[in-house]
Amino acid sequence: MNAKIDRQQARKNAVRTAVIVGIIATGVFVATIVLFNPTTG
Amino acid sequence: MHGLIMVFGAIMPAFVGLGNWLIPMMIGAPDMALPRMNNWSFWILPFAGSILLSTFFMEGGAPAFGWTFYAPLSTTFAPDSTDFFIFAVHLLGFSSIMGAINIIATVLNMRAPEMKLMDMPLFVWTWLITSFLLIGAMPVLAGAVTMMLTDRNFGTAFFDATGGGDPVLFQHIFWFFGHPEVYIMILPAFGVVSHIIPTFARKPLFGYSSMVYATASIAFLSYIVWAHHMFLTGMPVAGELYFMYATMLIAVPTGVKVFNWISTMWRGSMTFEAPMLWAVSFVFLFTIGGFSGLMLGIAPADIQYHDTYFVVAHFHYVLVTGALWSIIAATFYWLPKWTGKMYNEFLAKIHFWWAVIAVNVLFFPQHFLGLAGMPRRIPDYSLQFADFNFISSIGGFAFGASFFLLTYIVIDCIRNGKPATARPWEGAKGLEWTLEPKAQYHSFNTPPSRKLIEAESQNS
Repeated sequence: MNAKIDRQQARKNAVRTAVIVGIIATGVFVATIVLFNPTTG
Repeated sequence: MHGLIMVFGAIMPAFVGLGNWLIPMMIGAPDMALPRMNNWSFWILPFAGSILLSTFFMEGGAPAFGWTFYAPLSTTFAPDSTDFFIFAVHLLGFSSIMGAINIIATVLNMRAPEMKLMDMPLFVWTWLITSFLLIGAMPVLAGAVTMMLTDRNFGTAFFDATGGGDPVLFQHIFWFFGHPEVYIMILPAFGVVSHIIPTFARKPLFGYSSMVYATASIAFLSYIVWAHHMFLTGMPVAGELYFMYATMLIAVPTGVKVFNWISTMWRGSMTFEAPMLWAVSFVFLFTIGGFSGLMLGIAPADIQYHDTYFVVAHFHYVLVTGALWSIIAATFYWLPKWTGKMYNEFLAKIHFWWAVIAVNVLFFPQHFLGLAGMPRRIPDYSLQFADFNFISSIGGFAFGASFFLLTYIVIDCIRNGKPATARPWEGAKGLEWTLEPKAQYHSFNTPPSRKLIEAESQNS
């Protein structure tokens, strides 16, 4: 028998994953500039 | 500009397209997780591409500092159109990041409930790992071009020594993005080849789990070897030694992959339809590119090779006969599932032999040119290099012309191809082949059963 899948929940989880990964990407971007700023780095 | 367009306008969009289409089918999902973000990711591309190309028509000309856009060439001495270039790179990076986020969200959340991670096909694995590379590398590129923008227009001095900055810092930041970028373009290619070779050898893929671990190892190593592009910037000997040995280390997981592909073919019932021809030539030609990469990774030898046509030959063997080859292989392999029709095998074979001969005529002599000392990025060259350049040009025109035939084969397949079966290749495994001959949108509305997943798994 095929397993049931809760599409609504899967979509919510997908959005949560996307937000987390997006925050990581933004963090990498900000860190690059802050770390290498001659006045702050 | 050629490099930028090929990287961001050809290879990456082709792989993202393949990934978006194939991944849901391969993991038993109805579609990608976040379609609107996908739409954004796609539609940014033509705008970014147009902005980039529009610089050719601007006063002062297009940016003329190569795809590496080293400072101060790209800051102090660059034409005004560079600001458009910066905006285009921001958009291209944004598009790639959104694509990567979507693939991670889809693979981790939309997989069929009965599919474990180690059941996933290699193409999905390689794309998942590539997505993490994109998330780590693309924001660094965005940071680099943002710093360029502020150096050019807002009086900062990130890369200006007179203000306390450092032009070599640009190279470090660029290659911290640039080296993983190389693997972003080749890991999905490894995934494609890992599907095609078992199919036409009619054997299960040799060493599935070692393939997964090798891919992850290559991805990790790609982050810690960047300065092998910078041996001539005058770094300490200890630094050169570290980057040299770390670079050599990449040969180990890559060797595992090549070994596994050959072992898969060993004593298989092989046939050589067009996708297999491309995949086998990928293994052979990509390995040539890999070996010349090892040569370049040797710090003392790189002093001779650096900035010569040897480097040009090396990375074209890796990216043309590697990444592009696998895209063409994938096109022929999944064309029946895409169109529901079969392509003309005879013409496809003619196209393969035409392209494979032409590409070697094009790029192989460039090794000799480089070893003889012809530098990269010059509009003209000394007379002694003319003969090999002549041969190379003949190969270039012939290779370019081969794409007219490829275009014809694809159009002919769509218009006049014979109807394909759901599984047109005898030895093909994978959930996508359980769907109807022409895969429809929203492929798996009912998730596949454990039994089906096991039957179609590469890890069995």
